[in-house]
This record gives sequence, C-alpha cells and structure tokens, in this order.
Amino acid sequence: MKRLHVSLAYRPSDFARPNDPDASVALPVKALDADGTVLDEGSASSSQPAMLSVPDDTGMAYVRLTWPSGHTETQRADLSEMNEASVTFSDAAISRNEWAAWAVPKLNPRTPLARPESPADLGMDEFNNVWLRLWRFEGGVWKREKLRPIEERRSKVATQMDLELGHAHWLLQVGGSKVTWRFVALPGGGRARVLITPRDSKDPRADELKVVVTSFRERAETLLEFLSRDAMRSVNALT
Amino acid sequence: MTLLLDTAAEGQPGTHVLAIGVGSYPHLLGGDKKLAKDPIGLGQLDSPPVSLKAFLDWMLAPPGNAAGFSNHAAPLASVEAVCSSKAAVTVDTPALGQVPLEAATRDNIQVAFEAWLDRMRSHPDNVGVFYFCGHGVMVADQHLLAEDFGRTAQPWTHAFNISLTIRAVEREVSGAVFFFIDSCRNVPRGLALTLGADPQALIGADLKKNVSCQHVTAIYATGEGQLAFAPTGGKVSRFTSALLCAMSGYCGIKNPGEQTWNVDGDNVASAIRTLLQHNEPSKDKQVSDQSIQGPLIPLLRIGVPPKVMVRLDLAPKERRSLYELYLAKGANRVAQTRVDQVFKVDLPRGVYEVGALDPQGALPLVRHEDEDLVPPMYMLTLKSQP
Repeated sequence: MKRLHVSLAYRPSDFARPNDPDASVALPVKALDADGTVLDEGSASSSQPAMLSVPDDTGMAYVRLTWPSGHTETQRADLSEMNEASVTFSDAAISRNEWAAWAVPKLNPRTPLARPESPADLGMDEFNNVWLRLWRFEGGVWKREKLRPIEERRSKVATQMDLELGHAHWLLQVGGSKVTWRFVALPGGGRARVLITPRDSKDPRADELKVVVTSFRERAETLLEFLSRDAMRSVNALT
Repeated sequence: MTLLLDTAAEGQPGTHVLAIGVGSYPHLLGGDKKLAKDPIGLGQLDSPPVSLKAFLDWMLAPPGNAAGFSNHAAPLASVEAVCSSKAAVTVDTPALGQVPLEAATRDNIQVAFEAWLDRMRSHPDNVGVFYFCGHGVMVADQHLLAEDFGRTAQPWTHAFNISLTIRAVEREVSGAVFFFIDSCRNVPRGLALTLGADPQALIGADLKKNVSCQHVTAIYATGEGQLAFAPTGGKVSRFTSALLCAMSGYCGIKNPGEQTWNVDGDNVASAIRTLLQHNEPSKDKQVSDQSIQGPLIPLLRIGVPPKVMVRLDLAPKERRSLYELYLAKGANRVAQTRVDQVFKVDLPRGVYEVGALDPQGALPLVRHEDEDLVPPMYMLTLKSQP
C-alpha cells in the first residue's frame, strides 16, 4: 500500500485549555481516485496528521477535506513515482477577518465572512436594535448577569465577544424588534467566544441572526457540528 | 392492503417496501361526504396518488433499467401499497399485471403496516422502506392523516403518529429502515388548542425492549412547522421528485473494498436537500429535514458511478459567446463552444479540469484544476478578467 500524510495547518487558539485533548481542530479527510472512489478515509488534526493508505497501483490521488458546513477542499497527490506523499490544508485564507476564521467552517459555505468585503453585504447595522441578556443558573433559579465582554470585535457582517464564565449553566438571550427571541446555551468554566452574524441560509426556519459559540475545544465542537447535521460519514471518520 | 410483489426468499435478507398515498379526503374541504367538524383548513390533494404511483413504478422497474431498485445484498422482496384517490390507481407489476390499489383508510394502513412489520422481522438484515405522501400536521410529534380523517367526532382516530411509530419500529426490527415522509409539518391552531387530539402510533413503543434496529433514516419533505409543496395540476410532489431523482443515479459513494456505489441515508438526504434547493421556484421555499441513526447501511447498491448535473457559466455574460466552456478528465472532454447560455451536461462523478478558453486566443484562459464533481449537482461561474 502507498501512504498519504494529510496535515492540517490551522492556527491553534490562544485560549485552549492546557493539555486539553480536544483543543486542536480535527476534520475528516478522504483519499479518492479520479472517479471519486473512496480509497481511504480518516481524521486529520493540527496536532496529528492523518495517515491514509491507498492501493499500490494508485497514480494520482485526490485528498478531500470536509468542513461541518459541507464545504470541501480538494488537493492532488502524485504517487505515480513514489510510495508516500504529503498534503497540507491551511486556514490562511479562510476569512476576511482573522479573528472570525474559527467560525467559518461552521457557517454556510456562502457566508459573507468567507469572502472579500462587498458593498452589497447585508450588514450588522440592520440589527442595531438587537439586545443581549446573560443568564446564570444559581441556587435553583435563573439570575440575570451583567454582560461584560473581555474582548470585542466588529465588522460589517459580524460581531464577536469573549466572555469569562464561571462554573455554572449559562444562557445568552438574543432578541430585538426584527429578531425572534431565543436562548443560546453558553459553556461555563472559562473563556467562551460568541460570534453573531446575519442569516446565511435560505432555509425559512433559519433565525435572522446566526449565533456561533466556542469554548476553544475545537475537536469536540467540530464533532458536535457534524452530529447536529446528521453527517454520519464524517462522524464515523472522526471517532 | 395490496401486495404488489412478494418474492422473499427464506433465510435471505431482502428489501420490504410499504407505500401509502392519500389524495382523497372525503370528510375534508371539497370532499363528497359529511364535512368534519373542524377540517383544519385541509382539502383534497392531487399529487399524492401521482407521487405514490411514480414511487411504485420506480421500485418495480425491471432490473437493468437506468432508474429502479438495485441492491444485490438485500434484493427487492416485497412491495405493499394503499392509495386513496378520486380515480382508481392501478400499478403495473412484474408478476400480477395491472393491480388496483386498496383505499388508504386508517384500518387498511394498520393492516398493511402490520404485514410489512412481520415481513421485516423475518431476517435480521432486512431493509425496510416506509413511504407516505398525503396530509401531515404536527405539534410536538408529527401526525399523518388517513383517507377517513374526520369521519367521526374524534377525527384523530383516523390519523397516526409517525414520530412514535418510528420509535416503536426501532425496537421491533433489527435491520435498516428508511422512512420517506412527504407531507406538511405545519402546526394548525385547531390541533394545538385541542386536548385529546392525539393520534395513536401504528404500534406502541415497548420501552422494555432495547433499540434493535441497526440503522434508521427518516427524511421529511420539509422542516418542523413548515409546508411541503407539489406543482399544480396533479404532478409528482417536489420531495418525491427529488427523492426519485437522487435514487436514479444522482448520489452514491464507493467505499474502500466495495464493488458498488452505495446510496445510503447520509448521501440520499444530502442529495434531496440539494435538488430541492435548486429545483424550487423563487417562492414557497422547501427545505427537507432528516434524522440518521446508526452505522450507514445502503438502501441501493449500483454498479455504475453516479452522475452529476453540471451547470457551468461564465461571467461577465457578454463574453459567454466568445468562449469555449469545457470539462476534462483524462482523455474525456466535453465542451460548449461560443454559445450564449449556461453549459448544462450530465457527467460521471470524479475530479475534472474545468475551464474556459477563447478559440481565437485573444481572451485570457480560465482554468480550475482538480474540481471535485460531487452528485447531485455541480455549479460554477467562471470569471473572465479583466
């Protein structure tokens, strides 16, 4: 069998918990032949490359990486005169704003965050009247807490905030005159990041604002994203 | 009940199909019998009998057809159907000729379901298909309406709870089951505000039994709280059209060591969603929904690679008639030369070079290497700059 080493050159988060095995993002990868037949599949992370095996008679192989959003990226690996080859996927040009790159694989492939800024972008300005409330579950009751972001970022198409949350259950309530009120669960026990961007889907069920959350446990969160989309083939590759 | 095919071989796994279509509702608006006390705004449907017949014709198509059922590991073993329509629906069958379908009353559905479930229990590796097209509503669970809905003062005795039925089936069989539910999932106010509007499941879920089913895929025509649509004039519904198109060679994956291209819950759900998205008119959006559990077990195993509907365009549009748009894989190349329209072609899945060249050599070459054409659709607009 010939071997393919597939690496992920995705920037690690500055806020991952030390020694957390779930800290680095892991994504499913497949080796395909020119007809699209799957030769092997596995999981590549920024800390551990995938080692894929393909038949000895493989000349050109194609390696496909899949994001939770369904977006795929394909690279070729020429094995016609060698028994091993390496392929690296990078997140260098993943987003117009470096600070929002972490959220792009979880959003619709057509998200405006993934393309150069355009005057036609549906801006966050339309949602100026959106309000946010933070709730903490303590002593058997939900209590409202002051929302005190420790870091904030904003562009024409997204707003992002980092929160330091204690060990408890937390909810972020989002609402507004043009936005259906709803609660979003936030992970307690450390720093959490929330990115809010206008709807990027034509699905009539989609909320006016898309809220993406991370507690910097990329591996576990990516797996949950695939599970929530019933993408069982990708789930199997990651587990 | 009407058994259209029964070729199950003892000791061998097979695929068992139960298909239900309900277009005629005599007790709902426009019906010819006593109107239900609260018809919850529902009337007669043109599409379900047509959709059901298209589904059955596809299932019963002779082997070797480009479209039709194919699975050597679980060949088609039985097909059972009930249908309610103003005009009688008959189906061409391989062994019995033209067979008229019995009405899809709640009692007939119950009998057909129990017979289907018995057949499903006959082998641990059987594959089941449950198809429904007709009226559906939901509150917490989804309810599907039989022909005689509204016949009595308690109309919900003539409907069934498909959500609980799926949970029960998971404990009754051990193979794989695919549910295709082509109906609306909106929440009628009359239903939400009525205590006792609780249709029964077709079989109770015995929670003393463990979940035994290896795999369950349930694909719904639309999302929770949303409507499903069909073209006017008694045509196949949007969801059933997308389902049949997806299964007719527009999805499938060939796994390591496999000889066939397999259609499973994962890739058929994804294909249906894509086809619905691209084939729908500008209004009345319909986005399918799915639930997939357990290791993927193929519904179909097909000997040829799936096809991809290619839609290749060039921007700016004024330059379309100056270019040759092409796709090439090895020695195979297809092209559209200097035509002012989108290049539409079906190609086998695979990795292609996609591009546009000016036969005169004056305009810049546009070239995308290694484009992965994944079924069911590939759409790209090439950009000629400056």
